[in-house]
Amino acid sequence: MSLFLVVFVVAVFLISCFGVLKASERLSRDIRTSLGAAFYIRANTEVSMNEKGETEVKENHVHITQKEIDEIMQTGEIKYYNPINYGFVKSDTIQFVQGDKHTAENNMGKVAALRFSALAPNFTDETAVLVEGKHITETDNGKILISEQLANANHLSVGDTLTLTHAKLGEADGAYIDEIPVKTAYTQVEVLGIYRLSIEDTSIKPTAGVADNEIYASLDVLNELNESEAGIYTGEVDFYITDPAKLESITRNVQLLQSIDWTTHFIRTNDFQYSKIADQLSSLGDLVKILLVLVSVVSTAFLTLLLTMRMRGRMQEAGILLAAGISKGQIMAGFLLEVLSVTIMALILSYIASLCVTGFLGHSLFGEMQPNLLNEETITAGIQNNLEIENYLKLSAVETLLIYFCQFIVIAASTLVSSIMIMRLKPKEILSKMS
Amino acid sequence: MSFIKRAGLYCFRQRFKTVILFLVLTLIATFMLTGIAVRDAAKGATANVQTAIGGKIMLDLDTDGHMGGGQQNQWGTVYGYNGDLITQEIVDAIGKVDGVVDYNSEDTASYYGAGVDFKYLPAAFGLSYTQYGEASSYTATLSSEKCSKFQSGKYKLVEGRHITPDDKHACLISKELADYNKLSVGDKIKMYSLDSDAISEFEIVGIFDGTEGTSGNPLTVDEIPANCGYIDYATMFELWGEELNGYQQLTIYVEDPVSIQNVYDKISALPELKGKTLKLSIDTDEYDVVSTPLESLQQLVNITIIIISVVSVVILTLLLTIWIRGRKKEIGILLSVGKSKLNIILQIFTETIVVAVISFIASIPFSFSVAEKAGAFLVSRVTTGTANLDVQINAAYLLPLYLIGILLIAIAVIASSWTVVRGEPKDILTKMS
Amino acid sequence: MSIIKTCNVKYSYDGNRNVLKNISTNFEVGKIYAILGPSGCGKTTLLSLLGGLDSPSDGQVLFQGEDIEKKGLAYHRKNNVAFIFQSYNLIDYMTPAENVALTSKLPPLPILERLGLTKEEAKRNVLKLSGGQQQRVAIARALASDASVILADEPTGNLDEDTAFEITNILKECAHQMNKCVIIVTHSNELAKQADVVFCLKKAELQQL
Repeated sequence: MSLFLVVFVVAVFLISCFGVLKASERLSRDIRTSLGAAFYIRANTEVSMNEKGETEVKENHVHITQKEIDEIMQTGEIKYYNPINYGFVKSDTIQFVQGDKHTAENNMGKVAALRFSALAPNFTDETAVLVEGKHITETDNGKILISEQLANANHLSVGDTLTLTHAKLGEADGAYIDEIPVKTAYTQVEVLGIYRLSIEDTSIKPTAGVADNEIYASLDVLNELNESEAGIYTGEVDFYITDPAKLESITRNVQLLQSIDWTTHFIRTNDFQYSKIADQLSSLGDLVKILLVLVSVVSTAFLTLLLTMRMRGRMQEAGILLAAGISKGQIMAGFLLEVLSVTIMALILSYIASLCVTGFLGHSLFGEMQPNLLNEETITAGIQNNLEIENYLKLSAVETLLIYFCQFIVIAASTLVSSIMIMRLKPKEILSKMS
Repeated sequence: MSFIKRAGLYCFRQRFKTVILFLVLTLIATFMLTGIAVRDAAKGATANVQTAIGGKIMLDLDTDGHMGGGQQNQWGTVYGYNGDLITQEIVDAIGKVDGVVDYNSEDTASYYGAGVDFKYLPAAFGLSYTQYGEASSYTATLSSEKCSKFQSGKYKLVEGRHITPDDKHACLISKELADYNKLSVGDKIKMYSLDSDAISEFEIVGIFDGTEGTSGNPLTVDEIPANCGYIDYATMFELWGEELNGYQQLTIYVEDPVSIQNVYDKISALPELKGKTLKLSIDTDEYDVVSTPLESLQQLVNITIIIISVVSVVILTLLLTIWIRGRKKEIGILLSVGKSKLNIILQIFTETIVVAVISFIASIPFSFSVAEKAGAFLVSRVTTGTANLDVQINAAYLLPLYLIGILLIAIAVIASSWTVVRGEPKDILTKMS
Repeated sequence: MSIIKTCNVKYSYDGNRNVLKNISTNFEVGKIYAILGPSGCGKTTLLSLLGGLDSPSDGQVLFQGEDIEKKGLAYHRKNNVAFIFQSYNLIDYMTPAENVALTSKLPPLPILERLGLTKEEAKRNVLKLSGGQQQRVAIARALASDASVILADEPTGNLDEDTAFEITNILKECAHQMNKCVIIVTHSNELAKQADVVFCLKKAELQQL
């Protein structure tokens, strides 16, 4: 009975403790996820010297296809990617905020077409904030975000639709012109959201360059207007990964992709926020591991101790059995069988008990906790994520079995060792010792 | 024969059991001490994470009701803020508040400078509206390290140092611009500002990267991020004179987000802020995101230690119970010769406590060495050299822990011996034979 | 002189089966009593009641005319009675001398020597002594206390004939020379023959033979 209790307690104990380790790993991962990390594929700028000794600069352009992105997405745990295409649009129904040398011809705005508008630099730098409506996400088609200034000037609000046409800013004789005078492509879009800029742009710019005239659009908008090709991206492509700890290995794999021209493209990584706390976080994890090592050592020591004591207490029985002519092997097998069958019963019961324990702990620890998935939240801006709280403490079947197996081995080994110690004595010694 | 003598005899003659009890107790005590040390270290690590993330307090202009009558211009009515600005006096006062580690004011594109002795990376449309060519925008800052692009990791300082509140005529430029103009840290550049119609000289104190390939669809030079740098606020004040006599906004950095409210209260009580049209707000967004899992993490460590303690006590009680039950015969004999129940319990108690005290003492060096090993392990795992984390046995815990230990042992002894002593002596003696 | 006495003592397990009913007997100092009876008839129970190891279901045990429950059973055990068991019941981590010292402040060696143990044997591990020697230690422990009543439960049960004879003589000596009241529970007729008074416990009643 006492053996049963001890094995039971130790098993529940170990499972709970390892559950704790598991939970702590999941929590660290949560923290890392909420901090996140990113890498950006950009085109490089070549600064070179010409024959006259003057420096020249050549800006390369990004050329990344959906196929390449799909390959990159396969290299690791990437949560989001956000490619950008740039262009210009005009609309009969929009009067853009006037810039330098404004004419009806250059009444146009810049467009940044992307998958997730919330991940655009202006929004991540917080120089722009969404004040109405929703952000553009991957599932949106024919959707745009416009500035508050532009919306007010044109009496536009969220849900309004308008027709856009293509345009291209050019310069001729000191005037800004539209290089696409004949319009052939039109597309209808809906205003999905309105943003506000927090910085004042005081510089002198053509109308298309005025910050308030910038339009964020879903990727299809520029495709419809023949300003971009579906599946080909010419702006920088940003990748957001959930676990900053894996940033290095992911980018290493991406760099191995042959299909991207690495002479003109490069990767920049960003895990700054995580790097500030990475060491502390891993130290916390290590502390939990240290605790577990202690727990395992103590449990093993205790089990061994108890079984040794138990065996010594049964020396008399062994002596009697030996005297009765039963072989040592049979006696040991008997003891082993006895101990192990008790062990198995205790382990089975402990599984049920540990489910209760971890369930209780999990409830009291994490009941109030919402997983912090910052990215998700930012992107859908207020759309609720109905993520279930995982059972943080739950161990997988394999892990549980492994713990049981180790415990089993420890018990079997210590029973064997202590019974061998007894069996090494001669029957006469055993019987004389016992009285 | 007194119970003390009997206890002594028992401990001495039953060496095997005494040694085992000693080992078990030493193990448990070492375990507890190390556990507490680990808990303290985890607490330290949590605090370090909190400090690393930090908290922010924002001081902004209160624009409600302080926007003046408005002026007509070509685009409509333009309102100008006519309330108080954040003066240097306020900033200095805030800097002295306890718990404030840093502060920054960041004014994006507040200075437009044309390169007098350097060139910008060219854009599609050259608007040479100054006699020195196109102008690009600069962010005025007190502490460039705290500027949003550096805080989010988009920009990284690769050479030199950041701009600090004491700087004057200092600037940070991008690596591309530096390469393009063959400039390096320590070089001086001249810029012409159309707004103030003045040429100012700046020393390049640092070079940052992160701008390459982020131009997007630039029309003018100032839309190329590589052309946009950072300058100090002192130069701004010098250029603008009376017109600009304060900051638009101030971000105050607090070391410990937990005590942020405290710092907030102190700042809002500053006499320099009394009656000013400024508003103060707490921003713990970044901290909040990690604080819940972090706290849960720490709680996990605590719970583990509690589980360990409970299991240790259970194991100890079990062990003592098994042993004391094994001493039934002895207890029966002692009862039959007229020893009282209390006397017998006291004997067992004395035996255990004597062993316990010795094991507690023995556990101290053990725990220290385990803690030391754990600490060394942590240090070895930390990649950046500065591991300000240590697993240490706090001497202040020793005494209370031992007292609690003795108390628990006492309960375990009494509980387990009571089950034996409780029975009628006759039962004990008949059961045993 | 009467020293210990039972008054209408009844004892039953769980209130039904009466093991002892209405036993009223007187025991005197200087005499050796033997209580005979088949196994399980309640001999040991009677002895336990006399020794304050148990309380009767009904009736009283009087020591020098006073109910032993009055001062407490532990007091009774400590001061008035001493036990000798079939299985000796010595504490295994103590030497013979220490076992004797359990109940007495007197130096244990003279008593042990008187009962035939050498000085060297008196300091040996108790378990390394022979059965007869162990029983001598148990008797020594009983004698060392000031108890005037010695209760012996099958004291010779585990011993060979010769040793049993010696032990019986020692017990007789205790009664006749040391003026103790010795009550022996046994099923050995040999031992009973040596007793001054012999009782037989049959059908829960005590009869003097």
